[in-house]
Amino acid sequence: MKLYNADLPPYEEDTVLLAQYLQENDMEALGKLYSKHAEMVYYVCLRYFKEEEKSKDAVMQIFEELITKIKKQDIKSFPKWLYVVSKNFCLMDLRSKKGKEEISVDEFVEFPISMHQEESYSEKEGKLSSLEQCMEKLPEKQRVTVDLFFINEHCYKEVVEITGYSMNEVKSYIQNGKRNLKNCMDRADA
Amino acid sequence: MHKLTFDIAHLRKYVNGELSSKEMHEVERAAHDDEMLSDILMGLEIEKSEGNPAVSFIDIHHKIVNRTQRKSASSSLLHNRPLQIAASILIILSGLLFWYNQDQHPKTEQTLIADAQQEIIGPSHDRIAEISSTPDSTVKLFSNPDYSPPRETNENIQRHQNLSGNPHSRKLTEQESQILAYTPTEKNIDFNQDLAGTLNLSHPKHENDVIIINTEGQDKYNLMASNQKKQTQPKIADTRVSSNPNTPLSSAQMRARLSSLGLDSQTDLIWGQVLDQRSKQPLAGVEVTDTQNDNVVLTDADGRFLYAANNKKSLKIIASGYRAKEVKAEDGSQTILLSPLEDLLDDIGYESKVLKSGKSIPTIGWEKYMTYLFAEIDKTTEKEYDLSVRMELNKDGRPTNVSIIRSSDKELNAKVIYLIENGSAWETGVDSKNIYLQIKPRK
Repeated sequence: MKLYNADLPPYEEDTVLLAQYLQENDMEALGKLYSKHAEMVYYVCLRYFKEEEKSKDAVMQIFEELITKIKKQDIKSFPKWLYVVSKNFCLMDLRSKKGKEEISVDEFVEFPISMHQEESYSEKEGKLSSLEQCMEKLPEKQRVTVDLFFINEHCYKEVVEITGYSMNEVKSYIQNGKRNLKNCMDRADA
Repeated sequence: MHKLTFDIAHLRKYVNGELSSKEMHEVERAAHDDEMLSDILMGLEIEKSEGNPAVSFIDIHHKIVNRTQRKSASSSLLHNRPLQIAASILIILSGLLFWYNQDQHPKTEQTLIADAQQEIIGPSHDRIAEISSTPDSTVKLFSNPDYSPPRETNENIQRHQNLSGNPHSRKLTEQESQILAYTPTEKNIDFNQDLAGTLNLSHPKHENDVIIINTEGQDKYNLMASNQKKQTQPKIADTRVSSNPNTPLSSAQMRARLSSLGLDSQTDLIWGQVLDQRSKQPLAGVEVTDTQNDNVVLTDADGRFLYAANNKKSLKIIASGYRAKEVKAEDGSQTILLSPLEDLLDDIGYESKVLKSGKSIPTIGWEKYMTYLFAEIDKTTEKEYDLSVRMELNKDGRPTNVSIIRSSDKELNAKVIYLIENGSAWETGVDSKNIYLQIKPRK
């Protein structure tokens, strides 16, 4: 996923700016590069900190981290890398400040990097049939919402309307349903 | 990577409910596959729920520009080695001057020495002297004799002593007078203790030599650029010197890195690297979960992670596309190899893509088919209903093995199976061995 302002040329500019900083130590290039993605960093921070000011500060703190970190790693996709750095920054901060119990696994969205692979039809069929068995094992609420969202391609709002569950319930059922399905599929594969 | 790309403006529209159902579903589906997108959406939703107006990023961009320009503006001074030496001399000089003034008053020899040391040394290792040279630009000097090789220090003192007899014996350059004006006497210097934290010393010309010094401060770290000598060896505990970005970090270095995050020293540190078993390539963004309390850390681009635990239970390593693995949480280094799941179904969204491309359809068309089903079911019940059905198609395109996966009204099950088995034939698609059908009238 790339997130750019529409008027900025995409990926190539990142690469150019990054190279400029790495080769010439050009801080302005780094600043420019980071500026492009500052909004993304801000909203990621806001999602974890839930505080506007703290998130703004974090944007600058992450930038400081970046100045050295960026040289030590081979970065293929800057936005993705920056996202991981930002998220780690937030999680580390939350853990060091709030103590452990407040960050539960439910706060984290699953499925970090998806890898779609081309497969033959027979493999797909095998998966479909184990998927179906897994679907049956899901608790009803999860099954219904997963069905509506993934199979029938309704947006959350429509799922809310159809089921009468709240928006948060719908999101959580789909999330949990998806996780359960995945776990179930993993077990089936094992 | 996704086919669809969204910018923040589009996502804001989503959050504000300005998109069509189809567009909304697109965003939602993409967010299921993309943690970054999902986090951004949550951030935007928080912003909306707070009722605040959208944050202006002019502020942040301005800060970034300031930060980058300040560095380049100050670097001309910091690069200037003679000037730096001059600055050190002047700092020491003023210290001695202060001592000299103190000398007017009767004191014991010991106190004098103590005073002198205090003044000469100036900022201790965790202190930073922040000296404003002009109103609109800030020059930060990091002064710490501990870091200077002893020879240089002696030289400085010697040169200083030569000067100390008559400090104003020669005309000072403009720059020197500027620095002299801010020479650390008690009034001029402002030791900002809040800045205690992590200091980062890096030589712009030796960019691989980065020294991170943790001073165990609780406050936000500050990053300093300094033209310290390359060979300088830090003498403080909790330091990490990495001269080559590819050198793996030692246990102590990792410890230092962690302790710079302000965690207490008693926690056990577990660190490791997650690799693909086959390719031995590092895996980034892998979830490392503490099974005891569900805390999660992610691996960095090198597949490394660091976790501070108060108890040693096991860690679960979860990566999409790999078999999850549980490892015993132990101090020190471990390399964790994850085996790729060859026949992975990485998320169930995958399935609907299959269904979309060449999926089976009733020969009379969906609209007629569903109308038929609804009309027939409505003859049996007046209540609302919602069923999910799975079926196969035989070689003639007739539905067989129809089963009810989910039903809001069990009494309808048999009827629905009957209707499907005796309804329209189907055009066989790639999903003919597994067709899902939801039967629920839209209101």
